[in-house]
Amino acid sequence: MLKYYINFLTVMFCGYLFAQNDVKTDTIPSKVRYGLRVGVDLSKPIRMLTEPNYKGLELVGDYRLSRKLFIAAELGNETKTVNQDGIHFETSGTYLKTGIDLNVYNNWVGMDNLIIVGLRYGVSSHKQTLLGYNIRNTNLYWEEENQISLDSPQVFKGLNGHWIEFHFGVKAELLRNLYMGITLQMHRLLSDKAPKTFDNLYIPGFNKVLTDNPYGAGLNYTISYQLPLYKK
Amino acid sequence: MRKSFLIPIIFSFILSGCEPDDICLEGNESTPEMIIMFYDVNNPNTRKDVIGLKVMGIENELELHNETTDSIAIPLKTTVSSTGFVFIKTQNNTTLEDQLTVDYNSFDTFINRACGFKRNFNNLAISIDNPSNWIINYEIITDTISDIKEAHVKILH
Repeated sequence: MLKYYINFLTVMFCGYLFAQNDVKTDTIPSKVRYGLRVGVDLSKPIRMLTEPNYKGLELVGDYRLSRKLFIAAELGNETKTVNQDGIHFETSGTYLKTGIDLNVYNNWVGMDNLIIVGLRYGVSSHKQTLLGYNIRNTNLYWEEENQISLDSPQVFKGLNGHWIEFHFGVKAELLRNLYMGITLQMHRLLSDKAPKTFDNLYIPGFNKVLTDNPYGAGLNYTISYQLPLYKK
Repeated sequence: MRKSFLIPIIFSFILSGCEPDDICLEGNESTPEMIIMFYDVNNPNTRKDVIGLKVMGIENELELHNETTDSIAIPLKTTVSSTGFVFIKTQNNTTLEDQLTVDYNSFDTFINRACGFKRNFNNLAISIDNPSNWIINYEIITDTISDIKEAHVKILH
């Protein structure tokens, strides 16, 4: 977990460095492009290459409300299988995050890069399938096999999670209207509907759920295209 | 600034490989043992030591207990629904041997990600084969074993 924070701080620091590029802005504010920006998270396919037990897709979008303010959303679907000593399960489901992005970067005239501070409210609808588990037994007198593999996996449907996210990211315009961006996300779980005889160990969009700890982390790495609508 | 966008690719690799495992601690819950308390048959509310009590599982030569005590905890088998034990009491250099069989159903409850589940036992039924007759009677205090906070079975001798 600490690793997440360290990475997060590192990027915060990078952001601080970018922010030092103080540029004298024109006294007459230049026009900015307004439009709907849609894109896809590239970190998910990268994760699918490195993690065989993971499948995911995330679409991102935002819409400029004013010079600095955007409404933004992410819609995604994830399937994650975890097989470790204690437990073997699969979580799959869909999530939606909605909120706002604030651009804190002052561009040169004509440029449209962003340093983003954002807030999201996330909701997931998912199911969890218990495939097997370990029966913990500290007394090994009977020398029995404690690993149980369920022939008919137990499926827990209709689960959900609600959380808030703090985003910190950058987006750069590579070509006109084509953007590449990275966002680091801090998650805090607000509530979740867990199975009665089991628990939400992974929530799509939220990532791994820790015991007695409502915090999580995530990231996305997006490529997006802005459908320009008008200039103002 | 554009070149700095290579860094995120590296970050995503670091993050995706970062899944710290929770550790199952010794203090975490575990499959509970069955706790038996020994009481005086002539005075059923008074605990009474069993002198030189030796307990073994049937089909297992290892001793579970070998001491003078008024309470023991014994492990039930998790893969079958019946477990037998031999209770041997040594008195005046003679050994008295009784057998106790516990039948039960079981259900599993989740502990946490690292520890997995624990097995609980319910619908306890006990039968005593007492050729040497030192165990006079028994009483099931609670027929569900899901923790080890209190005694589950009372044995009168």
